Amino acid sequence: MDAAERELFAKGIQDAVGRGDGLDAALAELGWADALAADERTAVSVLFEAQGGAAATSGALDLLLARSLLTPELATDSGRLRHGSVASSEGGGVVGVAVVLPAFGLVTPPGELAGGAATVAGFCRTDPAGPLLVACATGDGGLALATVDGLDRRVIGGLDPDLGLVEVAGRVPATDNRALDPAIWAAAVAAGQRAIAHELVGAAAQMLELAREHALDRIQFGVPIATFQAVRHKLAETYVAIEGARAALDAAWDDPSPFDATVAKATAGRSARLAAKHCQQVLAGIGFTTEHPFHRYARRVRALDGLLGDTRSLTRTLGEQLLAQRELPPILPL
Amino acid sequence: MVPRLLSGEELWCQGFSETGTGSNLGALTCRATRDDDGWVVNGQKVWTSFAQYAQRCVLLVRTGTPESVHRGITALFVDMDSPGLSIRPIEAMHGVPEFSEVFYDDVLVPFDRQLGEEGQGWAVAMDLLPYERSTALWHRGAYLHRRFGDLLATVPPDALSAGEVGDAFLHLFAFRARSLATQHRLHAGEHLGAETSVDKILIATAEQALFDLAADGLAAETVLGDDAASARWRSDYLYSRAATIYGGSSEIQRNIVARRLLDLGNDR
Repeated sequence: MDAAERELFAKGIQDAVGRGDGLDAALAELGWADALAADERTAVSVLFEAQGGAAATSGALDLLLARSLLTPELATDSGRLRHGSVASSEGGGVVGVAVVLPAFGLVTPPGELAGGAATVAGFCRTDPAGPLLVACATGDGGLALATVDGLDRRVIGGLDPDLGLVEVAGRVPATDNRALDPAIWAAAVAAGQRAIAHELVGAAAQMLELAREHALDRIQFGVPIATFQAVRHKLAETYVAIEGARAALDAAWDDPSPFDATVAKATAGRSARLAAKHCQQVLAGIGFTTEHPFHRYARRVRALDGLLGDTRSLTRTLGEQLLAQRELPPILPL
Repeated sequence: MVPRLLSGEELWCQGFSETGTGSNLGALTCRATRDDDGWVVNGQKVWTSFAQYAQRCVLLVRTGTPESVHRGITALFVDMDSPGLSIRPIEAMHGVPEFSEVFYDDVLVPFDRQLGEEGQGWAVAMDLLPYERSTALWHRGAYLHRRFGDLLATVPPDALSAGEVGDAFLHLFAFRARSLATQHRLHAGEHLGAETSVDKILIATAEQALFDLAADGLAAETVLGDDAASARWRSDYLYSRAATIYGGSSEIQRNIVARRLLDLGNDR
């Protein structure tokens, strides 16, 4: 997309996200799947930041993951695509397919395949209507992509009921299993991590904006609280953390490796935690109520943090790798 | 002149800070008055990095009234061997005479060594600082990357928690990613301004995270070691304490972020 197309696309996405319910229908109308096929970076960054900024949700992550997991030959395989709600759009995007996410906080495949049955413990971003795609570990140490149906479902209330996460679990017959190249699984996880990182950044930026407006409007001791350095510095630190996460995300797009995606996801999660902490403090009493929108974002970033690897475990794993390698890989050449 | 600097034949320094004006640079008092032959400078500068090795100095002086703050400052380009100029190096905490006090006692600076217009010295300084926060910081980031690798190669197994190592790496990565974009903007001829304060805060955070980590993982070397490698870890650790102070403290950077990037208006 060129700059003008991108602006038009961003406006369409903002409008769709701002309308609230029915985001999936709006995205289908906008041709988001086609945009994804044409320009993944723009499609993902614009939608997920907007989604995070509005505390909205959609099935876009499923499309993104399905597109990464279903290599072109699998995606056009007629047997696979006809039996479920999966359909191929004109732009080559995959519409209506649900993909099981790893268990909360983890990045390991959510399924295990043995004797024609899959044991699954994971999540879906939206309530799945039909069969699900599940990445499974196989007994021989490899990976397989299975199609399953009939798992136990639990619509999650929890900290962030509006997110609409669905826990799926159980042991069910697995049909249509295909060997899954570990590199393809890693690339799909990376694609999902970049998307969630954008969503976290969008939510963090919105928290900062809410706190900023409050600091300028709220008068104490005869002046806006934004004039107090203690308040200003909290907001400045939040801004710097978000800018750092944005920069890491840009780097993760320039070099779309699993390593950089992990770094970007962890950095975005860390900045969102800082934003929640500082903005909650600046918003003070009103931010502690459900009459102010802040609480939706505070809930959202905690929930999003657990999708495709939480900040803490990703950071620890990164540190373990570095300590084991005993050297620092070259990063981000000029 | 510039080719001499670029070739390394000459070293130049920046005469900005004074004893009474560290963060509040606009209140500087080192004074220049007009004489027939040029500006006559009287006063004192401090924290002038490597002044004792420099051939020339970009010097900020007050040419307006004491109350003129930012508007009464002029930039001069001064030869360090000028009569009346004396230098006293100061030993920093890490054992290096990193900076100096510089005394100006009727130092004559010809009018053709004035940089920019009279009273426009603040603009000269403000144009210079973002360059310090772009290329110089990238260079510092490269050093931090190398020392991070040295730490990983040296640290005993189980001396560090993986979480802390990962966290320090995230800080370095975020700085490097940010600074990379800044270098590209500089290369494209874009004007660099207040947004480089973000780069400065990110690298100060990364630098202290790294050498805090080193001081923990190589604690015996840092505290007790007298060999060259240990002395270097100690020096790096001590020098990193200043990362949130020099080149505009982190508090000043956050003030800039708050006022210029978050548009929070003036503080009290």
